[in-house]
Amino acid sequence: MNTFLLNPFKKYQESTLLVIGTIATVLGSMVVYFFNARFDRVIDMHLVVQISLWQPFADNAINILCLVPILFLISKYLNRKTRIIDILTTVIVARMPYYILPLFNANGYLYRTTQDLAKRATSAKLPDISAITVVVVLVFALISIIFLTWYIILLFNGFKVSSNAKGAKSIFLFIVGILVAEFVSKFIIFKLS
Amino acid sequence: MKYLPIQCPSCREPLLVAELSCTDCETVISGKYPLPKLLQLPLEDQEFILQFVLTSGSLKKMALKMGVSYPTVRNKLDDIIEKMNR
Repeated sequence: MNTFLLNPFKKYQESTLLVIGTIATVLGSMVVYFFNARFDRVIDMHLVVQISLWQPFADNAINILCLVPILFLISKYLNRKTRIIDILTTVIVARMPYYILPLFNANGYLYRTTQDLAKRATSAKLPDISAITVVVVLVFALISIIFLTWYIILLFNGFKVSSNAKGAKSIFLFIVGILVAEFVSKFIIFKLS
Repeated sequence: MKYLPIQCPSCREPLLVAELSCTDCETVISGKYPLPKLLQLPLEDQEFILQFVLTSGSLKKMALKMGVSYPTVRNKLDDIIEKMNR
């Protein structure tokens, strides 16, 4: 179970992972479109009022294309035998948990709730926030953290299996790589918006 | 099945072959012979090398046979090479 959920890269062949990851990316982009969310950076998700059909596909493509070359370069540096197909499957499979998150924004409820909360919290008057609103936002925040952690664990495990990475140096380079990909993806998506 | 011990259970130093005997004529040879490099590896690694040879060195075939991914098999091989080079 642990291998299936946290490190499928250890067991499953690249062809299987590629098919599953590609289907998940397409379905995930559709989910993002129908539930009004944007993956506007490598490790970010924001809820929005409405988006065009092309936007989630472009967001996902940019995020994947930012992560793959950066992680591949780091992996190649750590182990020259690393294959790009393993890094690609790592990235597309690792992103799968993230595609579940927008489902919590059914009917735009979560977006309206968070916007309302932000408005009340910044008003000059004492905020009048219902307990249900606070619970909903807190539960979603907690779920988001769990899914973000799951995503990062998958990404790191895939990176580790692909490059046979060991030790503190590989962890440091992985973190640097994610931050660089985050910055680059933010810049590209911002320029395209 | 009996496993060949390769490490001293007391001080963890590698063991040497001190005696060899013929099961037929009972000739006994005494001396201090180091174990070959392959036999100094853990049994699991020796099994891996055997499978590697039996699949003509194809890591892809080995991955399918072992039910693991290609990089997992390649990493295992790299780790064994590292151990042997130590």
